[in-house]
Amino acid sequence: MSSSQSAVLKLLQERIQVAKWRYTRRLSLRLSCIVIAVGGLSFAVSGMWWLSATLALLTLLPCLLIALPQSELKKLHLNNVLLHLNQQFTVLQHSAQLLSQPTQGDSLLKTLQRERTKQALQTLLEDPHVKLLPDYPWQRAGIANLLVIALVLGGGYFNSTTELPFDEVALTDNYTPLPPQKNLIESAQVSITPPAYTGLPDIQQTSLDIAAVTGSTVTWKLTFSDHQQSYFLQLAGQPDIALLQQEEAYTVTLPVERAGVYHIKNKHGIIGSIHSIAVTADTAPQIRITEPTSTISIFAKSEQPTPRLSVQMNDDFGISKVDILASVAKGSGEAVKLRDEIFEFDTIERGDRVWYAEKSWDFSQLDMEPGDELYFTVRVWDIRAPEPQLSRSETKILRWLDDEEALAVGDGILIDFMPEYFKSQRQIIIETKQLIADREILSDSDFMATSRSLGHSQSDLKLKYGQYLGDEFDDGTGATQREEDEGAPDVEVKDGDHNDEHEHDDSPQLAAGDHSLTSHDHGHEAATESDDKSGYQQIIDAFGHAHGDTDIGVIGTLSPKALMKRAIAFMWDAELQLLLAKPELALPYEEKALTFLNRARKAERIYIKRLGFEPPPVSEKRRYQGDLSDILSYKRYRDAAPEDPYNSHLTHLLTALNLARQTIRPGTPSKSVLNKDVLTSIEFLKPAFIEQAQTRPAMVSHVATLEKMQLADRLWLTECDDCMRQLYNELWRQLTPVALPSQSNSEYRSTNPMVEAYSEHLLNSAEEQP
Amino acid sequence: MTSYMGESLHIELLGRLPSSLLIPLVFMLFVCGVVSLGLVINRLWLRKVRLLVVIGLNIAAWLLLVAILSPVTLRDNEPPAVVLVTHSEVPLSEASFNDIASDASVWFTQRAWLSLSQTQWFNRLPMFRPKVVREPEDIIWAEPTLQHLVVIGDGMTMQQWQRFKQRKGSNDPAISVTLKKGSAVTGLVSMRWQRQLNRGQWQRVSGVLQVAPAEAKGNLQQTLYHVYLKDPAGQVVAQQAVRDGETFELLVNVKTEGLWQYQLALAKASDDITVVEENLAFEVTRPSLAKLLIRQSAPSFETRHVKNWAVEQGAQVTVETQISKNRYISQHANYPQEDRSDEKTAQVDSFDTLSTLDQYDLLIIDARGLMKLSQHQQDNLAVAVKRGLGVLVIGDSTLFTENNLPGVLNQFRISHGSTIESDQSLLSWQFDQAGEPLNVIAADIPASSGFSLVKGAEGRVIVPGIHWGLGKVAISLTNQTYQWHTAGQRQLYSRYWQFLFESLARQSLAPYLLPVENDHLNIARQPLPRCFSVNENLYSRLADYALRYEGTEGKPVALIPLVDEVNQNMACGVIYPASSGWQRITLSANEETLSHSFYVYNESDWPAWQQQRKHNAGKRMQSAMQTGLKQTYWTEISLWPLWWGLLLMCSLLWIERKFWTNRIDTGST
Repeated sequence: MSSSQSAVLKLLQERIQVAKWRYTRRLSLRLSCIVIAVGGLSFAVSGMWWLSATLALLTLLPCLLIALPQSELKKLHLNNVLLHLNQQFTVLQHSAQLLSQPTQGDSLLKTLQRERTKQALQTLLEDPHVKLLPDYPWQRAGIANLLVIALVLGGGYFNSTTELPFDEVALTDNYTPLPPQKNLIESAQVSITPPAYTGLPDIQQTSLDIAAVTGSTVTWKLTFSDHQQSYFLQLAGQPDIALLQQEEAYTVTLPVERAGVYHIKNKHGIIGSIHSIAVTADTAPQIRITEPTSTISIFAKSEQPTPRLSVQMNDDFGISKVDILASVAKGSGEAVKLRDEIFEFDTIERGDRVWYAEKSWDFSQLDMEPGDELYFTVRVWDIRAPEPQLSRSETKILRWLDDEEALAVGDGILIDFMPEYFKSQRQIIIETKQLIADREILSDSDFMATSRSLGHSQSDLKLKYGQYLGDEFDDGTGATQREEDEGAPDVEVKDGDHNDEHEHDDSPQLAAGDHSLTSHDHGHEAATESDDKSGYQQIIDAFGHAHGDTDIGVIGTLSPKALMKRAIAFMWDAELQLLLAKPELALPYEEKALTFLNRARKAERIYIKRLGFEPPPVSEKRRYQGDLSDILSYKRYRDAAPEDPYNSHLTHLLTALNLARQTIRPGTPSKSVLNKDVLTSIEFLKPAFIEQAQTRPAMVSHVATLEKMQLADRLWLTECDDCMRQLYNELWRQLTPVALPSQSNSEYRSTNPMVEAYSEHLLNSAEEQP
Repeated sequence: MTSYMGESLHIELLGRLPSSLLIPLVFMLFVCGVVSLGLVINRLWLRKVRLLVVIGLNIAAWLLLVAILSPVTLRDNEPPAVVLVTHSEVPLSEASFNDIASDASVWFTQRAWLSLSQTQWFNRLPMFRPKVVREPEDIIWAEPTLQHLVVIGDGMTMQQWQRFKQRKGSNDPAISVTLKKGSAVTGLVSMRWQRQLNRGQWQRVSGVLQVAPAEAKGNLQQTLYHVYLKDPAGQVVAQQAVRDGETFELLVNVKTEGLWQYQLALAKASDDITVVEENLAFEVTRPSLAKLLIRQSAPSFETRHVKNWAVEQGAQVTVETQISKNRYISQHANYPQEDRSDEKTAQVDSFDTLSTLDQYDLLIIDARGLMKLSQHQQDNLAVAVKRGLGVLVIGDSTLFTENNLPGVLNQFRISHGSTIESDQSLLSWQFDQAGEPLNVIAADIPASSGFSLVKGAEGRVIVPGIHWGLGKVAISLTNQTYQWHTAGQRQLYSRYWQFLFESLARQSLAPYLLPVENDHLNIARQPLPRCFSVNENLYSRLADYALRYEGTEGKPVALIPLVDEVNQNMACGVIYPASSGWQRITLSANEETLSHSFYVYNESDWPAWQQQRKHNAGKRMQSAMQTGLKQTYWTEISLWPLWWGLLLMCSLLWIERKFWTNRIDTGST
């Protein structure tokens, strides 16, 4: 083989190598396209990289097994190429294979032909426009690869943003899907330090749902997947609190006073779920006087009384101090003289949380005489810091009778039944005026305490009168009164649940006529009343305070009962203002109450101690005298008073949840979204539940559930089935059914001839009977 | 054709021939017989013995043919039985199949076959081939001539028996039924509860405990069970201890509108382990509210609280209070704007015109106010009550002092002139009892053909009532019920007045979708009639109403209701719920739509109750079929021997013709 011939073949070999490489490139791209698609798809579905890699490998192997035996790599060798060139180019005269054969011993013709072929091949090799071998383009496979990669990456991105779970399952008991948020809480450490006086140990927890005693200090230490941002803690209804970054961790420390819900957020939105803070309040000490049991203990003149006082006290964290505040009253009526003293118990048995104390009274040592009275209240302080809570027991009265007074407890006398303990209305007015005058010289706390004390006195007096007037709903139990922190007036004197608010319907003011069908419309009524020239209507209105509602009892006459009801109504207002430490506003009500009490005294009527008195019928002749021609009949329209909104929202949410609960299928997410009405109910109930959580810490978890519902915009969170059931049960428990004024229904209608005939028959047979 | 009827034999000559072609066919038969005899005589005249034999064979063949064509039945005291094996709540044992005759035709319902085919002992039984019917009543299609049906297992429901009877046809002979019931299963049976209630009403759940015989033995403690009623929150709201066969009754006050599912659990008292838990579904709706008129001679706390309660709940209320001689203040609450007239209008007396009174559903009036009505007003009131108005008179002393009582009180026997004193009594009504005594008038007011709504603890009637035409009149001997309200017992107070309203007020005129009956068990794939009632004659106005059914899949289906034959105000359509769950029926008329939901149970729910219903239905159907049953059965004789005989005769004749003729021919030649 000549050197020129070998050079041509070498060139051809190089071309063959290039073709081989191009073919390999295209095959690789094609296979990679399939492998990436399989691997990416499986990773998107499973999220497990090892599974995806295995699947990709398992896909690649059969592809290779299929592709390689059939590949053109084997065909791309010199002889095949020369034959291929023979077929492609006529200029080679089907003699290209001569170039690969040995030259020794060739005939001249063969040699000439080889030379000619060599020249021709040389020319073909040098011509750049001539395609000697297949091109094996790779662009399509490359584009397909890019597309698959883009799809896999894109799908993975969207998948990760829509279904990114809150991976710190350990941090929260309940998992809730979140709005798009890449950032995660990687770890959480919550330290709860209860107030020192409670003696409770510190608590470390990873759960972000917190249960703590009032006054505890809570420190959150959180780490996030993204350390470059600012994070905030937001308590519901309060401004954001920034978390301080310390290296990789973010911390914040807050005192916890009220129950509520909170969440962690950054500038993009909420991170994680809604969390609850359940706060157990430090309750004030409870006092139970086991002896004497009755409010008023009476001793005869002949006795030398040595009454015994026995008290049991308890507190959730401990009691610090206890004493007796007593007053000895001498004299009677307006001339009564009171002497206040503080006594210690004779014996005190101190337990961890329960104390028992006893004291024996000796009237002679107290310088008491027959006719005097001793009033005492037990005061207990707990160990709360910085300000201990003070509780006062009900007031007990010890009366040492003299001869005349023994008759005063007889049955039926209403107006002069009061023990001297009860400050008279006049006394309350005098002390209120004094308090107003002393405002400048008293400290704020003393002023408030005095005002509240007067309020309690007013309350006692009101309850005592109300009891005799049949105010059944005033319990009058004299339950322990609690001294709240200064500056936190508490006008709620009755212990009770939410329904008490509605029961205020029965308060004396309302019994006296404030509760009409609807909101009042004075201007409108004035127009109507202008037609009545007799003045009767004005009298009815003036004394009835009825604003047109006539069905509140005949109170146009000088009935002592009605007058006392009026007095009590003013006492309610006076008490309210005194408890709010506003004696100036209370004074007018106090004076009006006194006015009506005095009018009642003058009415020369004695009422028995029971309501439900039915007056004897008044004959028409006696009732209607004089000119009645100007008295007019008239008509009024009213709209219904709105139903109790709490109960209404409770019902509404429960009904919606009930429907969702019954339509949901296990394992599938609820599709029912929150409509506007349900959202309104949730918004109404959340603050109400938070309020309830101050006394019932468990309620805060329901608030958190409501927040989660809003966040997920779904009516039933299937992933949080337990909390939904608890919320459902709570709504159901709180709901109080009120029956409706309904009609009956039947398949037999009154228009049915059979029914008509039967009713006629009944009527006739009844009339025929003697 | 002629027939013979003996004591034990019944032959109908040529009865199988079609009656229309009877004569020509008989003629042909006769001719064929005569012709063949003629041919035989002609052929064998010379060979007398053979002639006699061949003629004998021919006559025998001819007679056999006639016998085949003539049904012959023999008297039989026990007809062949068809056995139907149905589903049983207690798995069937091998002993159930011991008495089955080997020639009996045995059929299985699909459900029974599925459960039995999985048992080993059943697969060992050689006699049964799987003959399966989809539903038990299909047996009449599978065995149209059956006369004696033996039912093994729990049997069929009453509806299935009815379909069975319908398919049988009235002209077919009566069928005797033998029941081989499966053992009783432990559970709650004879259940009753209301499927539709109003808010605040009492739901009364009653039933009977059924205990499986094997579990009913033991000491008192071992045989004692507890029935618990749990509310949707899972709290036990009522419970009762019962033994086998004892009834129980549980009460619960329903809370608010919606579709509710309570749970009824049965647990053994000894270990308190729940044996059965069933779902108690019902709907609580908001009813149509009564329109109230309060008329009073003077204001009172009683009427004030009634008014407040009714107004708060959305009812339309009118209060007419006398303020002077013949002068009234009239207050109207919850009236729509368009119904309001000029407030200055002096005319406020509702009793002056009958049409005004007809607008109200219930009148509460104090006795003094009732006495003051003029004669014209009293007449109007009497007519209004006859038309349906309800009246509650708040009693006072005037009832016993006035001599001329209004006509509506005529049926009350009120003793006049007696000294009226007040007494205290604990009131009880329907399912409620007050905890605190109230002041009541110490009087007894009996009424002819009356009723008592509220009683005192000692049995004294506190609110007696009477029917007066379409309306009702009652007298309340207390005006103190407001004390419950002021004492914080709002629920008790509202239930008391709701009871009085429902008992006395005019019946609602609104269209009414009748709830499912209290003792009915709705099972999926069983027909369920749903009815509605309206205030007009549906024979002429049915087209105005559209009744639609919506199953669990939510696709509404229009129903074709049929007017009830007796009650022209009612029409019913039948639905076939495909699956269990809450379903809804909707009635549309004049752009108004009324809907009612009801719950359909699965086949596996309430097994004991279902079993009891099937057993009872079987017994009832057995006794009903027994009455029309003839005591003798006729069994047709089998035709196989006749066919074989005919074949034999024909074969012998063919042999004689084939071989003997050749011999003769050969012999002759």
